[in-house]
Amino acid sequence: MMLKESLVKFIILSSGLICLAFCQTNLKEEEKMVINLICKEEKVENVSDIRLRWSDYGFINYKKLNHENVVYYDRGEFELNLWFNEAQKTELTQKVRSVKPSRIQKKDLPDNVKLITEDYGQLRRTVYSFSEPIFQEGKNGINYAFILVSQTFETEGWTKYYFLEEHAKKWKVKAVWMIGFS
Amino acid sequence: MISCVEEPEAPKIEVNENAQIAQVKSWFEQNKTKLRLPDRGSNFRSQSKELILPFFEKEPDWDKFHHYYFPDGREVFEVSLANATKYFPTSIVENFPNENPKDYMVQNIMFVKHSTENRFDPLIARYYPSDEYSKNHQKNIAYKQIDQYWSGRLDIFTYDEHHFIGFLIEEGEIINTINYGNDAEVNRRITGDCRTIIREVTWASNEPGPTQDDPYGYGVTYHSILIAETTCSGSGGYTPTGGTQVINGEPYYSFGGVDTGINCSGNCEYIVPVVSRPSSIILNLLTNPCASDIFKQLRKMSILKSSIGNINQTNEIIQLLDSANNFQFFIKNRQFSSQDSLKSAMTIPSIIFNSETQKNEITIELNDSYLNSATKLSIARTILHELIHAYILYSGFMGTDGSLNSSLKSYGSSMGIYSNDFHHSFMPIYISSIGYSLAEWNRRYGNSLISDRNYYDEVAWGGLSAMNFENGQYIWFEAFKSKFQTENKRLEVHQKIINEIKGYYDAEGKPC
Repeated sequence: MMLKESLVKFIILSSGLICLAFCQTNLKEEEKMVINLICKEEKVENVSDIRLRWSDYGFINYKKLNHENVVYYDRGEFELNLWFNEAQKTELTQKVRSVKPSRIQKKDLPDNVKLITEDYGQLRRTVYSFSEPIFQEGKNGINYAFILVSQTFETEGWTKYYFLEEHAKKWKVKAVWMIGFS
Repeated sequence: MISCVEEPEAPKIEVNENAQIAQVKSWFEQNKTKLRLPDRGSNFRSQSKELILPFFEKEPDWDKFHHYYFPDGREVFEVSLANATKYFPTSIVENFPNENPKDYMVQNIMFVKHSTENRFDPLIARYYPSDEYSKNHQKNIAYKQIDQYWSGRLDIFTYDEHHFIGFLIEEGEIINTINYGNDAEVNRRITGDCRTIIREVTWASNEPGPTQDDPYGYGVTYHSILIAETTCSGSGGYTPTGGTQVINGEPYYSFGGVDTGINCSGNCEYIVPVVSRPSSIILNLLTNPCASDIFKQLRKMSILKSSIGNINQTNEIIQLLDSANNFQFFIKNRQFSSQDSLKSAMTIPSIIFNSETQKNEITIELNDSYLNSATKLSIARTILHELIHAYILYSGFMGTDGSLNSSLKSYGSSMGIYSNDFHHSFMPIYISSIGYSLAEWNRRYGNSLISDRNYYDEVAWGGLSAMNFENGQYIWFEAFKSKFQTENKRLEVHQKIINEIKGYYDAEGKPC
């Protein structure tokens, strides 16, 4: 009896570990696809290895992700209540609060994009930065992603908030909102 | 006045407010003949206890209103009474000797919603600016939405023209309160820093009256009264029993104080509402003293407006600068995160609806790192750049990439100005206006010794010169490229902009 219980526990634990490893790898792949798509959209040539932090832009909960106090002339696809149920909204809050930025690596980027690992203050080039993407399944079973993108050229630049969705293993941009520019 | 038509309010808010104002209007129409205080046998002529001006029927302009709340949660609708008879104290005439006070004062009616009953007892608010800046920045004035740098006098009257309280305001701060009453009453109120004198107080209206009230036949009616005038410094000055109550730490003013106040026990048809302090909208949230001073200087001298008529501006640009100059936005500074630390400033294009002020708000942020290195001239340039940017966004002209260049293009298109004209005509004139504004600011407040106007025009291209750097060369914005024909000149101008931003040795402006 004891042996049987231990075996069940072992199987559950092992499958959990396998899933964790697999899921993380899977997420890393998803992230790469998202970043690749944005690099294409924005014609990115240089990417900083340092991540943007969600909290630096005030994204600390679902309410902020949904821009609830922002007056939109047309909220369009950014009406997140259309895509997420209450449990998913709570998950999103947890994710945006707990995200820990890691450095971007060259292998995360398209081949033609250069990774900038030095202080680019003196570089005469346009450099992009990305936040960690946040992935969330919606109430319709579709996967969605959120990511912040910042562009800097000398002392000018902008920051955009991207909302993407996955269809047939391909990501596409659902909506973009400019959250700041000089 | 703010009207729902003039401001790009969110549709749902507009609908709500319109429904609410209709409710106020309906209540007013039903009750306006009853809104009188009981006769206490006093008027502006006699040995009265009060200053009471002749009553006139009020017809509010319901299309122009503000909507806000007192701190205790009571809702207020402040509606324009611009087309009604105007009353003013003659003491304010000297502020603008050659102008008719009716043209520069603002007169509104405040409907204060009762906290428990469905009634909106009104008060009359009269705003008298004391300087040119205040006169030009009171288009949107309201009791809780006074411009941060507005100076002047604000008087509150009951609906039937009993003087309630006056406030002397200096750059948005209450420096004195004024009350009228008889000597005996006033003496009981005095504590601390209040001062009472018996004096002749004269008010006037722009309507012709009987000959005895208009001895010079100016079409102005004078109302004089010998009365005790009590002035207290700051927003308080009274003991709570003398007219000011404190609720949750916030002072409130009640009409007539305890001794002469109207206590309505169920039968009153007009209940004079208790009012909180008037207050200003603090736009300048800059904690960097140097940047804060520059913002104040720019705002107080209406610098964009001052350039109108001085150069060959087009109507489109005059319109743009004039509107941007009166546009209200918030400005603050903070240390940008590491990835944004090179940026000098950001306009936050998300228009936030503030439920407290019931207004849409837009914010400009200056980077602390930038403020620490930039010259004053560069900071002034950046504030103007972001101000125009914020205004254009607020008006709904978002360019394709959000930059000022593309947003100006979008604004230009709405005026029928397209590609070639935009690059060769619109932009150079626009830049020249900013250059003129910078030169004027520098003449009055700046510390750059350079007198060559060209320098200011060149610096004004900041943020509108280079868009990228590819294959060892800058990619210039089209208008900049057209303006400066040779690559050397472009590089020279661009370097001047960088010098000012970074506070390099070659900068003409001085450090902040």
